[in-house]
Amino acid sequence: MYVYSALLKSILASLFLLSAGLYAEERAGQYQLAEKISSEALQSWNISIFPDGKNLPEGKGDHAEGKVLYDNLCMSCHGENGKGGIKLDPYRGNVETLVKSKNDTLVSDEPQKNIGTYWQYAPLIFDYIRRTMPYQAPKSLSNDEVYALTAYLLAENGIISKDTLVDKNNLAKIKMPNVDGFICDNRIDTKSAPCMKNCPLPGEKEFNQWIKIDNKDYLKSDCLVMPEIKF
Amino acid sequence: MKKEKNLISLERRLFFEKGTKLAAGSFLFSGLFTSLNAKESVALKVPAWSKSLGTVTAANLYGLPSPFEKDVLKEIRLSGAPKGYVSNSIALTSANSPISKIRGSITPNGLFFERNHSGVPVIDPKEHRLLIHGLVKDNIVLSMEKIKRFPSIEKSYFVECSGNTGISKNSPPDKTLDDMYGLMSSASWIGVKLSVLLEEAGIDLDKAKYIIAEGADGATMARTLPISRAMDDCMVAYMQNGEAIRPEQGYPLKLIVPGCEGNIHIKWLRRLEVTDTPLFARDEVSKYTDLFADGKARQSTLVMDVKSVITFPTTGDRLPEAGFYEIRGLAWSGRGKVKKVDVSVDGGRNWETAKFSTDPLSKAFVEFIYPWIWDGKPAVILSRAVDESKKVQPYFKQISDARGFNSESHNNAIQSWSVNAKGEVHNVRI
Repeated sequence: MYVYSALLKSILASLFLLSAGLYAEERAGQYQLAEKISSEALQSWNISIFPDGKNLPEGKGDHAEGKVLYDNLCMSCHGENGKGGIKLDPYRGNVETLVKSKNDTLVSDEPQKNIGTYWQYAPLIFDYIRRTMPYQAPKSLSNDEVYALTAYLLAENGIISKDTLVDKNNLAKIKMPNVDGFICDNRIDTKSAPCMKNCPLPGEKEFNQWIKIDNKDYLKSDCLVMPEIKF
Repeated sequence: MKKEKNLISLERRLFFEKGTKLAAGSFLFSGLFTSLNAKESVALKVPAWSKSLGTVTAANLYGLPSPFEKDVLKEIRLSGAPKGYVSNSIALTSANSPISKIRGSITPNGLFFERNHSGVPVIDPKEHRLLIHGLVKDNIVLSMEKIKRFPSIEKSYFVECSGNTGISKNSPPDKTLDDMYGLMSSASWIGVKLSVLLEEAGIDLDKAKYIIAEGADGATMARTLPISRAMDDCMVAYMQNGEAIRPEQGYPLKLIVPGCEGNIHIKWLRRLEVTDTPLFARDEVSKYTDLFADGKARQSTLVMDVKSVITFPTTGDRLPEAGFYEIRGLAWSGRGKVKKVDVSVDGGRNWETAKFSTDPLSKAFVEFIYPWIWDGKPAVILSRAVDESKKVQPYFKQISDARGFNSESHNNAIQSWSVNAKGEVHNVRI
């Protein structure tokens, strides 16, 4: 009897909580199914490195150390000096070039997307190498080794000098050439009415009158927005 | 002469059926043809399987398709890497769904398209954990056993890789449906609403703007999910079409972000970090962004816009004779339900609205069907979907005019197929 009335009370209480429309924080632990974990105990999984350098670990590395690691661990796929590698997957062409060549540009019929021309924030290089590389043994590098490879790639791309020692204090301050190269999703960027009879076709004069471009109607809520970083 | 007369009468009938909006298919059984034109059949034989016992019941405790369906397989292309240079898990990171050989709004689990970045991990569900931390009251860890005890929901949603039907200057005639459209599939998912798990950790909705979602595979791929979607219809799924999610789809746990590009459906989900800044992960900067001719790139392009494609007939099919065919296809939209699909059999000049073979669901595949009498002359067939947000599927030219040719993904253009006088079908771009 006691059990039933306790159950009833808890049901009534949860109904009250729901109907009161309380904040999510006050629904915490509603189901009592999770284990709590301390900040220390989750550190081995806490690997996100943010554009402002948040969560970068202790450690340091430079171009010279990075070159040794690159030649041993990365070159077999990414090519000499990061300038283009082997063709692995027929869907995607060659393994991407990591390092910008002199004439590489995004404004071309064959745009060259690499760290030097395209990547947005320097800490992303550290984040990606540490979580995914080397391909055959991800997460096998020390933080010093990841800093060294990051320094190597930044220096080979001409973004920092070869004698720069990269660490948690200066990595986020390195300004990437393409940091302002991105705009938020502003689709839908095509608009047309569903014409049913005697419809104009692409390339016909009437077609251009029929379609209207209107990109005001987009989902701002999806935008990735980074507060301004002082480089 | 007689055949032509019958075709004319069927055409009239189809016109009448469409005009009065009768149920699809009913006209086939209503004494339509005055007589059959086909040549006479040979005498029927009693086949061996009617005169013997069949194979033992449950010969395969996990059932398999008929041996006559052995060619219905995922499509892969061989690696371009020197043989033995790298392991297969590196050389091949995707496989297409054979959508020309299957039908309907659900993709069989064994034929769901595959895409991964470091191979398919083998995860012991007893050892798997989901960590939720960051801007929450308590950092929490959940086992699979506990996740399955939360209130659950079942929903059908499509997953389409943003690179499905990539953007290219040329569209050769021999390109097949499976080649161009195989990086998409749809399933019925069972799991927990993401918002329920975030609330269980006590998400701080005053400060939280994004969720970083991350997988447990070697790549440990991560993406930034906007809070608006996280608290809306996202799911943490563990069942796919009634059975545990397949390893290549994220076993034991997959993030479902309905209507959004496949890459953000994080597989082997292990971590959700509640933050106030985005991660700007490799796969939301270097990849899955759409470069324009002026060098700027469009980012945060999560939603997959309204799209449809005729799946029969397509490249490789050969219509054996003039006569009746059902044009069939799939339609879907990341912005909600598909409202209608129009079909043209004259290269886009005139259109008629197709029927659905079932009721459309939000952000899921729906099959459309359109009765067609092929007169034996060259024809170009195409489909165009409109969704409930009134977005209309564009022609490729509209997309390339707006974006140029350097943006590789998010192409939702109208697909056209040409039928020549021999009945052979090819890819054609209008």
